[in-house]
Amino acid sequence: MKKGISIKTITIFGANGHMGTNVAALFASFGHCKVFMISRQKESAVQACSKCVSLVRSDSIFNNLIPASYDQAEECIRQSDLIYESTSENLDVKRQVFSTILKFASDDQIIATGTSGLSIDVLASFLPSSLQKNFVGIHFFNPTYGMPLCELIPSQKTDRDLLPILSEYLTKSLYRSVVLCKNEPGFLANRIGFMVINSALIEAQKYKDVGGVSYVDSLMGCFTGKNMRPIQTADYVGLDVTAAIVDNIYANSSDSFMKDRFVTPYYVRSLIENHCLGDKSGGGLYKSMGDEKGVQQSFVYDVATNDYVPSAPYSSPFIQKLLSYLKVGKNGFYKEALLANDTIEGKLIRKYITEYFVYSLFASKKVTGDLRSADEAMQYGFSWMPPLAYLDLFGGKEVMARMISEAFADGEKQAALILLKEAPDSSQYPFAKFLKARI
Amino acid sequence: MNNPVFILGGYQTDFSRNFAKEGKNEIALLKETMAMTLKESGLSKKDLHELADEGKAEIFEGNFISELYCKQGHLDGLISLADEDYYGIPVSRAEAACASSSSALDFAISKIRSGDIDVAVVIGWELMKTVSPKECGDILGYASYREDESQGIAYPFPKLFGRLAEALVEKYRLDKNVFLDDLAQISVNNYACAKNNPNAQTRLWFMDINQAKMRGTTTNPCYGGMLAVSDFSQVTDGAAGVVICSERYLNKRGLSIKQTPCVLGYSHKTAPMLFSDKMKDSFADSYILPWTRKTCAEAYQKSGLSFSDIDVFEVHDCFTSSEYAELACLGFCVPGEEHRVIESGIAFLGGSKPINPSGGLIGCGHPVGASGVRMFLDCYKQIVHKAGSYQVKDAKTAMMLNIGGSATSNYAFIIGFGK
Repeated sequence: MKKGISIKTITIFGANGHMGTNVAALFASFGHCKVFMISRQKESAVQACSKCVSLVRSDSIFNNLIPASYDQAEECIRQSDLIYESTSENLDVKRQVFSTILKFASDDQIIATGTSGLSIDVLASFLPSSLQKNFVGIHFFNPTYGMPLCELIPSQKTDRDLLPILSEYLTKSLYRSVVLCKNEPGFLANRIGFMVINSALIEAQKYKDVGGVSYVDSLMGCFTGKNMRPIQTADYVGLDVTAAIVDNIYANSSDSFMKDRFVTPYYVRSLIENHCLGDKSGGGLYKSMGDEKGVQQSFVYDVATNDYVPSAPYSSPFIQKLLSYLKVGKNGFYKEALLANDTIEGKLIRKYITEYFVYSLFASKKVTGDLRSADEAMQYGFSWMPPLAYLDLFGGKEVMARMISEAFADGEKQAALILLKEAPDSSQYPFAKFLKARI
Repeated sequence: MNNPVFILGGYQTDFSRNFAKEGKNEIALLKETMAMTLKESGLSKKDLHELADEGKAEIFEGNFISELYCKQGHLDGLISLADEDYYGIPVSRAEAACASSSSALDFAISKIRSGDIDVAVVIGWELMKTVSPKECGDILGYASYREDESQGIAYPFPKLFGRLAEALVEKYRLDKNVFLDDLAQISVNNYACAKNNPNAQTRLWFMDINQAKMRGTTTNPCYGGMLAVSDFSQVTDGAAGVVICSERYLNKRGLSIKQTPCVLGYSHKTAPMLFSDKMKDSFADSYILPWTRKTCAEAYQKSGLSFSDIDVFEVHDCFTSSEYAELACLGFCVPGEEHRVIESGIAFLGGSKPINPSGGLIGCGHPVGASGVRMFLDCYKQIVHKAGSYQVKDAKTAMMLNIGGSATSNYAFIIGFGK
C-alpha cells in the first residue's frame, strides 16, 4: 500500500451529510474512485449520489457512486483502499462508527476522519493499535469543489511514512493544497477563521447599541479582505457548528494568548436553543422574511432587543470612500485612507485586521511550525486574504507594528510584536484580488 | 525599415477572477495590468513617461467590445484613469473580435519595426461577467455578420463552430463518433494542462474523457449542433500585457540581443466574414480554413522556419472544432489526417509538440480581447523558461495562432531567439 499509493475504492460513512457528499464528489471525480456512500437510510445515500453529480457538474461520475447502508458496511469496507468517516462531530457517534470499521478493516487500508476539530489522538484511541498506524485526519473545506485547502493531521500513532505519500495523492490526484497540521484543536484554518468569526459575534454584543451584528459584520467586511462577512459566514456554516468549533478550541487549547476570543456569547447560545441555526434553519443572525405582499425583506438579529429588525448591511461615508477606491483598483489610496482615519470605525477596522494577522502567526507557529502556512490555509480554505499579504498592502512590518500597538492591550502587545518580528517580510501571494469593493 | 522587435516581459491576471463579484470595474483591471506589466518588464512608469515625452513609447490596447460589456467606450482615454503617470502617453485601441489584442500587437510591432518608437506596452483585456451568460452570448454575436449570422439566435458562436464541426465531418468524410471522441480528447487535454497553470480559469474544475463524451446531458448540454459545453471556452474576465521594444532600447538597457526573445515572423489575413463564404472558399481547397492556413504558412515563411522548428504552440481553441481545424493549418498533418495527430498524442500534455500547455482558451480562459496577448505572453514565458509549473522542457521557439470571429481575423506569431 505505502509505495505507489493506489486509491481506487473508498467507503464514506456519513456520505449523505453535507461534507460527506462534498468529499464523495471529490474522490469520485478527480480521484476516479468507486465510492461506497454509506448512510443510515439508503434513500438518503441515493439522493446524495445525485447531489455529487451537481456539485462537480459532471454526469460522468454517477456510475462511480454506489449508495449503501450500514448493513452493507462489511462488503464496502473489505473492497476499499480508504475508509473515510464523515459523521457528525460527536465522539459517541464517531466511536460507534469506528466500532463498525474496526470489525472489518485490515492493517493495509487507510482509515481517515474528516473531523473539523476533534482530537485525532482521541479518535485514534477508538481503533486497535494495528489500525492506528494508518489512521489520519484529512480535513476538507466547504464547499470542497471550490475550496482546495486540505489539512492533513496525523495522530501520535500515525506511521510518518504515510504522510508524504498521502500528501502527494491529495495534491496530485485530488488537486488539493495540503497543509500538514499538528493535532491541535481546530487545526489551522478553523482556528484562525473562527477566532475572527467569534470575535465578530463578541464585538456585536459590545456594540449592540450602535448597530450590533450589522455594524461589526460590515467593519470586518469583504473590503477588508474576505469573500464573505464573518457573521454571515457563521450563518452559512450554522451557529451550532460555529459554537461547537469555538467551544472545542476554548476547552482544548492549552495556551492563553487571545483565548478570550473563543468564548461563545450568551445570545448565540440562546439562538441555538431556539433552533435559529443560520441558513439551514431559515435564519440565524440574518433572516429573510416575506412581508404582507410576499416580497422578501432582509432582517438582522438585534442583540439589544433579542428581536429581528429590518436591515441592509451597515455602511458609512468612510466605508463608501474605501469602496470607491477599491472599485477602480486604487489600493494605495485605500491603504492611506484606512491608516489615516482616526474615527472609531477606522480604529476598529484596523484592529480587526491586525488581530487576524497576529492570530494567524500565533496559530501557524503552534499548529504547523511554519509562519507562511496560514497564507495557504486562509486563502484556500476561507477565500480570505493571506495574512502576510497585509504586510505588502500596508507597506511592511513597521506599519504593522504601529497597528499592533494601537490594537492590542498591554497584556498581549509584547507577544504580538514578538510574533511580528519572527514573521516573513512579505507574502508569496498578491493581495489585490482579495480586497473586494463591497461590504 | 525592418527593425527587430524584442520582448521584455509581461503579466496576466488570474483568469478565475470575477471582477463584478469583486465589485471592481475596468479601471481596476487596467491599473493592475499596466503596473504589473511594467514591473515584470523592468520598466518604471517614469521610464515609460520619459520615452513617451521623446515620442518613443506608446500604449496599445486590444479590446473587443467594452462598449457593451462595460458600457464604456473611448478606451484610449480610459488608461489615464488608471494612473496620472500615463497622462500624455499616446494610446491606441485595436479591435478584431477575439483577435483584438493580436491586432494591437500587430500595430505595436509595426511601429517598432519602422523605427518610429522604441517601446510599446500592449494590453489586451475584456470583462465579460458584467452581463448574464445569455447576454454575453448575444454580445459575442457582434463578431459575426449580425444580420445573417447572429441576430435573434441564442448562443450564435457555438452554433457557428458547430457548423465548422459538421463541415469537417463532411469534407474529410469522418466517422462522426470517432471525430466527436477526438474533440473530447482536445477538451480534456486543455483542462488537464490548465491544472498546472496558477492563472487558469478552470484550474479547479473537473473534466474527464467520459464527461467530455457525454454530450447532451444536464451537466454537458449541447448549444452548438453536435458541440456541447465541454467543447467550449467559458466566459472569462481578465487581461494580459507585454512590453516589446527595439534593439536601440535593448542596448540602452544593456540587455543581450542574443538572450532576449524576439518576434521571428508574423502574419495577418482577413478571411471573408460570412461563415458560408469561408466554406465556399474551402470547397476548392484541401484546407477547411484556407485563410488560416495561409496565415500560418506566411508566418513560417517570414521567420524562415518550418513546423519542425517549433517547440510549443498556443492556439485558438475557442471551441474544440477550431483547434481540430487548426492542426493542419499549423502543419501538424495534411488536411484530413487530424485524427492521427490526436491519436499520436504529440500535441498533448507531455507530447513532443505540445499545444496549449497553458490550458488554452478552454482551460486557461478566454476574455476575448485579452487572448492574443495572453498567448503571446505564454509563448514568451515558455522560451525564457518562466512558465513555472507548466513549463515545456527546453522550449526555444514558440508559435501562436489567434483567430477572431469564425476564423475571419487570423494572426500567427512566431517568437524565439535571433541568430
